[in-house]
Order: sequence, then C-alpha cells, then structure tokens
Amino acid sequence: MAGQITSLEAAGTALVPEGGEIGAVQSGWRLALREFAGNKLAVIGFAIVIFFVLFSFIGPLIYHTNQIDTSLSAANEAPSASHLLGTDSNGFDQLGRIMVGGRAALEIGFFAAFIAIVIGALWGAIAGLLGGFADAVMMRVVDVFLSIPFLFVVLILAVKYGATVLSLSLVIGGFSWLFPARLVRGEVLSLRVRDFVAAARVAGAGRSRLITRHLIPNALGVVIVNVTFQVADAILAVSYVGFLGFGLHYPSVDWGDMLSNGVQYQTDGYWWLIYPVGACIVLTVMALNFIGDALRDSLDVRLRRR
Amino acid sequence: MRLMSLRAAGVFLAVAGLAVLSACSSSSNSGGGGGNGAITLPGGLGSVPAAATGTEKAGTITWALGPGTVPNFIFPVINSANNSVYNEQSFSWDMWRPLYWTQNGVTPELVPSMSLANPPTFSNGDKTVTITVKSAFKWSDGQPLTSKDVLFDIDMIKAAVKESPSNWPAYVPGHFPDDVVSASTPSSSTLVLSLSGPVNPSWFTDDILSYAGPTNPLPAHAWSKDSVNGPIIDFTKPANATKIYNFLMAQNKSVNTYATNPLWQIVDGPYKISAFNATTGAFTLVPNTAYGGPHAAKMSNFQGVPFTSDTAEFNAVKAGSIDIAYIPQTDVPQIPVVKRLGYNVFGMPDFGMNFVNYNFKDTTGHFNAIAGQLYFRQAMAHLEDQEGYIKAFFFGAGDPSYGPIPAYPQSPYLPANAATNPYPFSVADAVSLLKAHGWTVTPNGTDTCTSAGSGANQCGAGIPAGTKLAFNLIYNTSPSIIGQQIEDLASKAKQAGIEISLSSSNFNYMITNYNDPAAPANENKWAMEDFGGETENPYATTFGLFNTGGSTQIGDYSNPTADSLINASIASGDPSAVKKEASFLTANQPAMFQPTPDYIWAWKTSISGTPESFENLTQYYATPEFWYLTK
Repeated sequence: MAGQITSLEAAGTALVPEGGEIGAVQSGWRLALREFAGNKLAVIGFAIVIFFVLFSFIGPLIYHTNQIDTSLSAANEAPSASHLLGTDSNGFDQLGRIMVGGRAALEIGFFAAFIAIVIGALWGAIAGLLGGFADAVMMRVVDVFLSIPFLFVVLILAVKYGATVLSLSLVIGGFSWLFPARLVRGEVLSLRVRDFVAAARVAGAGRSRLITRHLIPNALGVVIVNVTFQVADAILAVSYVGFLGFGLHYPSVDWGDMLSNGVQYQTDGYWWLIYPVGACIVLTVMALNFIGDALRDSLDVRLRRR
Repeated sequence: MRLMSLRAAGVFLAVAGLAVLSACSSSSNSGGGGGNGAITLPGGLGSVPAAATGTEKAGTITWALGPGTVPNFIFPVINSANNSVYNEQSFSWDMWRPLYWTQNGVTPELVPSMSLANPPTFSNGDKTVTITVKSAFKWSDGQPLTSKDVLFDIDMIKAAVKESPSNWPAYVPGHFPDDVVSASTPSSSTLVLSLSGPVNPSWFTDDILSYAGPTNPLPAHAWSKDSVNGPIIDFTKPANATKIYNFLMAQNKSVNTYATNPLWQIVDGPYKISAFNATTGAFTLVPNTAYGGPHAAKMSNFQGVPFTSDTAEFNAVKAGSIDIAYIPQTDVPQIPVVKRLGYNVFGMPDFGMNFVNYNFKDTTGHFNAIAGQLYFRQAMAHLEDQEGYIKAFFFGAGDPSYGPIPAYPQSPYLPANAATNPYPFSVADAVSLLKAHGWTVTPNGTDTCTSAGSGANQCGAGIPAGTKLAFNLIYNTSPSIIGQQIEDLASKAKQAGIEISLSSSNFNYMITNYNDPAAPANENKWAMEDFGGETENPYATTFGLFNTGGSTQIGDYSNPTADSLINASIASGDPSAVKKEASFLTANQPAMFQPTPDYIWAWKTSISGTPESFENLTQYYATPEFWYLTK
C-alpha cells in the first residue's frame, strides 16, 4: 500500500504512539485516597466508625443518663419515651449504657492497636534490617508468642489483676503486635535492598535512622491497613472477655458484658438488652474491616483499580 | 455446712444437706392449703399438689443435671474436694442412706421413718451415745444391716482423716471422730460410742450422724477387704482400716466401672446403679427391691440427664423432654409458660445463707481495723437493698435474709431479730453511722477519717486520721445475680462515699486464693469477697464458719462472744443455743448477709408422689422412691 494515503492520515491523526492524557502528577497517597473514596463499602464503614465515635463520646453530652446510681425499681423496663432502649437489670438506661460501653470499646480498641502497631513495627523493622541470626531469633520469639492461647492469658490476667481500660489495652496490645511484626519484617526485607536505603547508608545513616526515617515510613501502608484490623480485633477481644464475665467492672462497662447479661434474658423477650448492643459490636467490627479492606486495595498498587 | 456458689440456674454449687422427707404425709410443714389440696408454704413460690390417688405406675423418670452438677464420686465416705449435693443428696444417698434423715420437705428436721436407726440416746452427761439400728433395713444382697456396719463407717472415717483431714468434709480436729474414746457393739443392732467430752445431742444427731459427714452404714460383710478378690479382714484394726479405705477409694476413682463394680451393687438405700456414663455423668438408678424404708408402691427407674448449659436444660423443659428439671433464675418470668406445658412448679430458698465476706486480716488501707468496727458493718448492711434485689434480679422469686439463719424455709432456729431487717436499706442511715464515728462523708467521693481514736464518736482503734474509706471487693461471675447485687451495692456505697473497687473471679479460684486460712499470703489482696454462700446443716450452728479458727473460715472473723455462743451450740444441752448464737451474729454482722433466691423445680403433672418428695427438691434432695406415674 506504499504511496497511498490512509484515511487516518487524511483525517490528520498523528501516527505517534498513544500516551494518554497528560495531567498533573498525583502523589501515591492522593491516589490511594481517591481509590478509597471510590470504594462504597469503605465510605460506609468510615461513616459507621465516625458515627460510633460521635455516639460514644459526644452522645452522652446530648442524651443525659445516670450511669452511676442504680435504680432497681426501674429494672428491665421496656423501651419507652423516658428510656429509648429500655433499662437493664440494674435499672441503667440501656442506650446510655451502650454509649458508655462504646467509649470503652473504642478506647481499648484504638489504644491496643496503637500499642500493637508500635511494638510490631519496631520489632519487625529491626528484625528485617538486622537479618541473619538476630532476625531468626526475633521471629522465633514471635512464633512462641503466637502459640500462646491469647484469650486464656487475657482471662487469667483479668482474674488475677483486675480489668480496666488501661490493663485490657496493655494486655490485648501486648499480644497483638505479632502479626504487624511479621508484616513489617516482610516489607523491610524487601525495602532494605532498595537503592534509597543503600543511598542512605552511604550518606551515613545509622540503623535507628534507617528504621525511623526510611524503612517504617515506607512500610506505612502495610501498617495503616493493619491498624484497622487491630482495632477491630481488640474490640472483639474485649467483647469476648466481657462476655465471659471478666471485662470491665462498675462503674465502667463494656459491650461484651452487656451482651452477656442480656443473653440471659433471651427467653424473657428482653430484646433491648441483646440486639442493640449486639448490633453495635457487629457494625463496628464490620465497618473497621471494610475500611481495612479498602485501605489495602487502595495502598497496594497491584490491587488498585485502573 | 459446705461452700456453695450460686449457679446460673439458681442451683447452689456445692453441697449438701440432708434431706428428707417422710414417706408418710404427716409433714410438719406449716403450709397452707392451695386449690385441689395443693400445699403452699410461707416464703415459697407456687404450690405442691397433693399426692394423686388411683393406680400407681412405674416407668423411667428423667432428672435434669445442670452444667457442673454431674456426679463423680460414689463412695459414701466422700472427701472435701468432692463434697457436693450432686454427689450426695441426689446420687449416692439414693444408694446408701445416712444413719439419720434430717430433711422433711423444706424443713430441716429428723424424719424417723426414713432413718436407719432409732433416735440415739445420750447419757453420761451427753458423753455416751447409744445407737440402735432398725431391723427393717437390709442390704440388697439379703444380709442384715447391723451396728457393725455403722462402726465400719466410723472406722473408715478415722482412716480417711488419718491420711488427710480433707478426706472427710466434717472433720474438725478434736471433734468427731477424734473424740470417740471407744466404740462397742454389744449387740448386732446396738452401737455405743463413748466421747471424750459432752456434745449437744441435736448437733451430734443432726449434723454428725446425719448430714455433715455424714455417717452412712457401709456393708462390712462385703467391703471390708483390701483387694478385689481378697478376704474379709478385721476393719477395727487401724492398719487394716487404712488398707480398706485406700482400696475403696481406688475403686471409687474408677468412674467408668460405677455400674459394673459388684461392690457398688450392695446397697441399703432405695436404688442401685445400673448405668453410668463416665464421660457425660449420665446415670440410671433402678429400684432396690430389698429396700426396707418407705417408698411408692411401684418405684420407677431414676435417670440423670446431663445438660451443658442452662439454656439447653430449659429448652428441654419447653420441649417437654425432661420429667423433673430446675428453672434457671433468669427464666422465672417463663414459669406460666412452663405450667401451661404440663409441669407443676415449686420454689423455695435453700436452707442456707448467701453472704459477702469481710477480710478481717487485710491491712491494706487499714481495712482490718475498719472491718473490725461494728458501726462500719452496720453501715454496709444499710446499703443492701434486699427487697430491690429480689424484685430486680430474682424476679420476685426469693426471700430476704438478715443473718445466718434464713427466714425461709422456716426452721426452729430463726431468732427474733432476724425476722425483720435489723439494718433496713437506707443510704442516709449508713451516712449517719459514718458521720457519728468520725468520718467526713463525701457522697460520690471518698470518705475520710477525720477523728481518729477509739472513742464512741471516733473512727476506731487502728484507723489513723486521713484514712480513706476505699477498698476492693472480688465477686464470683457465676451466676450473674452475684455480680448484679454487688454492682448495686457498689453504687449505693458510692452515694455514701464508700469507694468499692470491683473485680471478678470464679468460684474455684476464689475459695482457693481469697480465703485467709487457705491462702495466708493473699491476706492483703482482698477486703471483701462474694463467692456465693453455704448450705446450713440441719442443726444450724455456724461452728466452723464464724468461730475463731473455724475450719471453713474465710475472712478470719473472731469474736469472743460468738465463740462462746457457738461452743454452747455444739457442747451444751441448751436447746435454744443455736437461736442465741444466730441472734448475736445477726446483730454483729460477721458478714454481709444477702437474700436467698428460690431454687425452683418443675415436674410433669403426670408424676406424683408425697408432697415432701417434691418440696425437698428445693433443698437439693432427690427422693425418687416416692414418685410414681399416673398415666
């Protein structure tokens, strides 16, 4: 067909390779945020978490209830205008109680996750950076801890030392850093051979600087994703402990303890002691998992939608 | 008297008493008549129908075993670790009866017709006891029950405690069997015990010879050996007795042979074991046709059916798949439904006491000195809303209790000051007491001792100025009514400026670790604790519990007046000694006494029997020999 003019040429279309539209360069984080915002489940999950944060911390300021003085004459009342979700066996307003319980659940969830992530990230980063024998020993320590039945330990410590928001956070966080440690170590093993790490070394960066300024920041995506799951797991853990009767004690309360008390009355038709608080646990944990899944999708380039 | 933990089902976890009930209908219960001859009892829930007339039929009657209540011990010389109502009153005592039966329906009193011996006679200043075994009772292999069988049991008890004091739950050093100077059997029916000191006849009969150990005659002609195929040996020789005891205990540990071991087939009670599932605890007892005591014309098989949760048990009730079952406390509102399904329902508190212990040795924050002050214990009693607990937590199915003797079930031991609340619920009264004794009260804060000293208007000896009224309280998580009551107490205490820090634990951990005599190293780790309560002995002295150095002490309460009164209960002939003891303890509040929930039972309307045989279910007794089918 030499010498012939194609229809495309006639139309003036250039024969250069298609390069796509050139726009402003976006950072990885901005792309991730856009990806996250495009995930409907993530947005719903985020909205639910925000709702429960407001519900638990701001709610008591709007919906005033007495969660200190018991009122046995008002025990187990059905929902009414004065008690929107009824009362429990001690006469506490159930809606107000759920708010108080939610505050404890979220505090423990986020604090335990914070502890777990800090310890896990440092442990994993150090192990990954050091490599060799030190890495092997540190990860065997992780393996040993993972073999310990976590819930039993929490129960034993709760019985022996009592359960408070702080103690439960420390115990749960103290046993939850193992997975973040593994994740971060894996990430660091990949990062430490990259050019920017080598460059930092050449520039004289010590191990602590490498870890805090280069490795952990670059493993942050993994960490952030894991935080959401850690929070969800911690809320579930404290619910387990509370359900078994070893959670927080008066004047504090946790959702697991409330659910445990309510379940006793399941044949008596006291639905307000069971379903609302059960729904709170399910919704919160589910929402955090939605967020975690979406974050993983948006931060992992391979999973990002094109 | 044994420790117990209130179970979620409203069942008390440990033990026992004796139960009783007479085969005849001549109950001394002061109950009123309900419709159709039904019997209602003061303090009870529901009523018990009169025994049905007409043809009695036999069959198999199923009996619900709640979680943690399956039997695991068959040898009648039970040890402390396994001393529970579930091993005794509703299991082994159906095969080997105590010498004296002391439970008549809900009333703790001697039932002559069900006792294996005539009432004992006391002589020589109450230091000699003569027991005459009835000729009506025989062993299931046809051999007569003799005084040697009673002596054999006593020698087994001696051998048991010689190896370890914990091998017999009623053992108190210096008392039975240590105080048996000599024992003789002048005839096949007569046993004479010479004791080292005088005993209160009621105490010795009701608690030692019937309930607390108890004393169960054992078939010496078949069990007095030290190996399966060995010969019968002389059990009166201590060395032989030890060998025999060890042999029988070894047989007892072989749980999977309970139904097949020939030893356990020789019984004097109304039943023999025919099946036992060592894994689940399910069992089947069949009638002992040689039983010489009162029973229904046609006895039915008695089958224990284990459940792993109260929910499962109550579902079985709703499905009608269990004949006799307890009603969990939280399912009290469902009782009308249960009745519509064809069950009779009756409840009554156990003859026992629930209480919160003070630790009189806890020096943390000078709590030992604080707890030692009567005004403080009175203030705490004022903070207890017993009526509120019964309404909110028991759904009305329970009765208040203000001292060691409960108002219900009725007994001859209730002192006048425990009939009504000596310290009625009133936060204001509690505050007044504290203010009147040198405390600056800060409602919803923490009270402070501002007037130290031992004067009448001061905090008391050992409490320095500036001491805060703050301490911890550990409670048993099961059943939930314990925690509910404790939460309310902490709330009311807070209103009076008493700061109680709560933590939870479980029954076994608590009785092992929050118990001054058992765990002295933990004396300063707990100020108050609530593990549940205790069943009363038929003769309701608190000997062991509230006397100085008592064998079942928890918080080391010690009061010379109490010691004197308790000693009188067991060693004097004063018939009102227990009432005097209870009166003092009600006023002195060695512990915070709590209300007692009804122990509620349901049985199918197609099952009938003497009213007492259903009433005594509430006292942890099962006497299926009186039951029969009407359809």
